[in-house]
Amino acid sequence: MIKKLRVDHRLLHGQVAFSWTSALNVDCILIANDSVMKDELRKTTLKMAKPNGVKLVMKNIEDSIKAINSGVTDKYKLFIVVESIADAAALIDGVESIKALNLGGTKATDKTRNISKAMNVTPEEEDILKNLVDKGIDVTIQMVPEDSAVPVMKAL
Amino acid sequence: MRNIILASHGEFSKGLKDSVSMIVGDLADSIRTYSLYPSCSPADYMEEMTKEILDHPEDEYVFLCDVKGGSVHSTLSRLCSHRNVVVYSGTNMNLVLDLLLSAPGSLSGNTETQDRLIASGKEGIEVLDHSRLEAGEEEDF
Repeated sequence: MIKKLRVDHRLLHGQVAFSWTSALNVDCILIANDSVMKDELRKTTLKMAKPNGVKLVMKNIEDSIKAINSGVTDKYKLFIVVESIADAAALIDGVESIKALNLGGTKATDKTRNISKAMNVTPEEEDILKNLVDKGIDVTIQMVPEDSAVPVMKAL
Repeated sequence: MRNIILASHGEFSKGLKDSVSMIVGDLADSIRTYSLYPSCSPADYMEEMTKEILDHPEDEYVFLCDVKGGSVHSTLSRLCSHRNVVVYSGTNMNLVLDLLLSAPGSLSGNTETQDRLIASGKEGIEVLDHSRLEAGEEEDF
């Protein structure tokens, strides 16, 4: 079952690896990302961030959706991490069982607006988020498990 | 209750707490720190802690010191004569995180958990350079 889908521009790092996997008690992390699959060095460094006792699978977005829908992931307590809001929306579109989205962190650029300590969104991304909320997805901002989850509409 | 005290020469302990809180958030709030500065004596701090430890026999005190054999570590190690005290040296971030996130229950007298935390700290030390880079195995579902 899918325990959580998270947007984090750093993908797997200390914060995700340690606190979320222990708080969610997950046994498998899926990094769903198109560019990582073409970058051996990045794959190596992501593997270093993997906590002990947890399986780490990396797939592009399309293959991730296929794998989840095929049922091979059903036996895992799965934690999915994507890099961007657009990637998250693609997964939610492709996988019916995903009903919630955790916003962890996105980088500030000159096109983004800051909506929380670690979340920065472009106008296009705001539209995607509003659209997801309209579709009934529970979208919340939460950097670490110890923070409380803030509904995204309160921040937009 | 468990008291976690990061103890170091200078401000490593304060910086380490700051870094840990970036990962675990509020969970790091209760961590205490001790910084030894030039012209101060760790023995004074040890005496201060001795009083507190004696006043709170029901509490556990875990000291995470910096360099093994340094004056902070060697002085605070003397606190181990109390049954509710555990002293580590060579503290790194992995050790602190594992202590916070995956070591519930009492640590004093529990050598198995004590050793697991050391293993976790050691596993956190790795080296990588171009000669070690290799594709490695890919996991799949």
